[in-house]
Amino acid sequence: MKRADFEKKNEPHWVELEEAVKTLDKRRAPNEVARIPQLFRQICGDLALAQHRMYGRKLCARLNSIVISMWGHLHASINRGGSGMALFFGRTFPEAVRAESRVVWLCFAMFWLPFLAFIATAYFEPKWIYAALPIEKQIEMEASYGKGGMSEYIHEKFGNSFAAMGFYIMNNVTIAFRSFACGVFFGVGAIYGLGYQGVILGAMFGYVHANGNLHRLYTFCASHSSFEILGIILCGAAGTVIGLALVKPGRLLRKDALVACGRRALPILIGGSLMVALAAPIEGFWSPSSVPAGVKHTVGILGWLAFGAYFMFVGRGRNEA
Amino acid sequence: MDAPQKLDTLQTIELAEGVQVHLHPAGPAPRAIALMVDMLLAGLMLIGFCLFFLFIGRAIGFGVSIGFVLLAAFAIYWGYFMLYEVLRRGRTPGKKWMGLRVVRTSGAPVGWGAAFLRNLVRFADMMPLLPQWQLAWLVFGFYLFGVTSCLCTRRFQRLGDLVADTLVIYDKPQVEFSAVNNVTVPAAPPPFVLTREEQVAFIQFVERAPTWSDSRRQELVQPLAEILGVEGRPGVVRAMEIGTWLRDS
Repeated sequence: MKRADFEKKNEPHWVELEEAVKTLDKRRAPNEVARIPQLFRQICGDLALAQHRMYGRKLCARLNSIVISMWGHLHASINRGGSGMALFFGRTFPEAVRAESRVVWLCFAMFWLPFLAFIATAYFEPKWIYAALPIEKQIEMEASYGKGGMSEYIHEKFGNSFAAMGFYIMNNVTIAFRSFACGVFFGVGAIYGLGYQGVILGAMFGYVHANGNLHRLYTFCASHSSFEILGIILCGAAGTVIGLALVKPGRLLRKDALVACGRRALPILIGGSLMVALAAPIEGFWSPSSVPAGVKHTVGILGWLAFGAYFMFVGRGRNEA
Repeated sequence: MDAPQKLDTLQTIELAEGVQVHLHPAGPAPRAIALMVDMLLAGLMLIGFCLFFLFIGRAIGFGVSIGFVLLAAFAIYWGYFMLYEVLRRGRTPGKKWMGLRVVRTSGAPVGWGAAFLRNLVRFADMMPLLPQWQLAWLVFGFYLFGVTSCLCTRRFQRLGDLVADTLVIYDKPQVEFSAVNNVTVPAAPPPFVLTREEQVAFIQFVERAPTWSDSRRQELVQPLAEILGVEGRPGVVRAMEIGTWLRDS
């Protein structure tokens, strides 16, 4: 068949499909949905024929474009909504964390070791703390948690809980996202980011240990600590998983390992950043509130225990396909 | 169609329907322009939000409106690209303007996961950063890693694309067919049997000839001078005749 005859014979189908693609691009339903699968298969055949018979780039490019667009519409993923969320938190997230437990523990240590070390130096060699903590931070800590400290400085700065929550979301989630992103540099960025956070937070806490009002500090931090710290550690761990794909790709090509590890890291990243985001309203509203200290401490300890149990036990066993 | 694949950047993908389609990845330059348009738009959005919350600050209290501004800045900075790429099927306004689209390497549209990954890793791509341009927590950068990664990969993927398994393609075919293409050359059969690749070469010569200068056309048919028996302008005409015959019969 000559090209002209081929075009003449099939033109109506192509035009119909082109119209359907245009309608779908505008997010409206096309007129005859039922005809689309048949037309699509037909145009796939036409494209293959046109390529094989070398009907020229112009025709092939046009058919190619229609096929790609229509294929995209046919294969668009469907949002599962609520049940998808339940599946994520009930299974996907804790399972993904368990699957990467070694990396998570490494990141856990990378945060907590410098943190605890700096608290220890408060009792032996406080000079380290003054060296690590920028002077503005020392002033802030002194104002908030010093012997005569009044109130938490972020709240002081913004004057109300809602703005403080906005600040916490922006600041903390950005830190979490960044430590994930920098993980792509062979994992160094993520581990460094966590270590840095450990040093700075450890020095801040150490400062208060050395010369401040410990009770006020721990009462403020207790409730949201588990969400925030674990969330940041998990985001860093997700970044490290991606970085390790480049360091230790196993039997895959580095580029394929990167994609595979990206898939493994994604649930950890989503869950971790949601935890950090959830910490913000707690930190903004609950933590500075006048709830008794005992309640806040209990909530804080329960939070850590609950997350430990969640990551250890939830989502095990049921192996539905 | 093997020979042309070695020369151009087209990515061949075989669909489940049993047909091969070609994706045309876009290089760093059009993507950079699209990015600048997007950044401009995101900046305008942010300014708009700021003015809006400043305006209603009288009613809800300025402290609260600062909170909203911070949330809006966070949402725009990290969410602008992701939301557009998912909800507009891979096209942010800047990409739409430049005729680009983000797709998975399989050609399918990007989902939430892929869009989330590629736009978080953007932070690594944009290094080295510009600290003095930063606006509170919003930093911008030179995209040195992104550009380097684009230039080192066959599909022009930045680091975020590599992690999320996506690529940026031209949305519409980028083939230029000028009116000169319709100049009719009498079709004439080739003097001998051609292989498939050779036939493709002749057909593509006919299609692309209008986009080249006359001397370039003559240069391209020069190696065929001995076989065709003519060179220079007559050689070009002869090659066009063969190509037209192959294409239309």
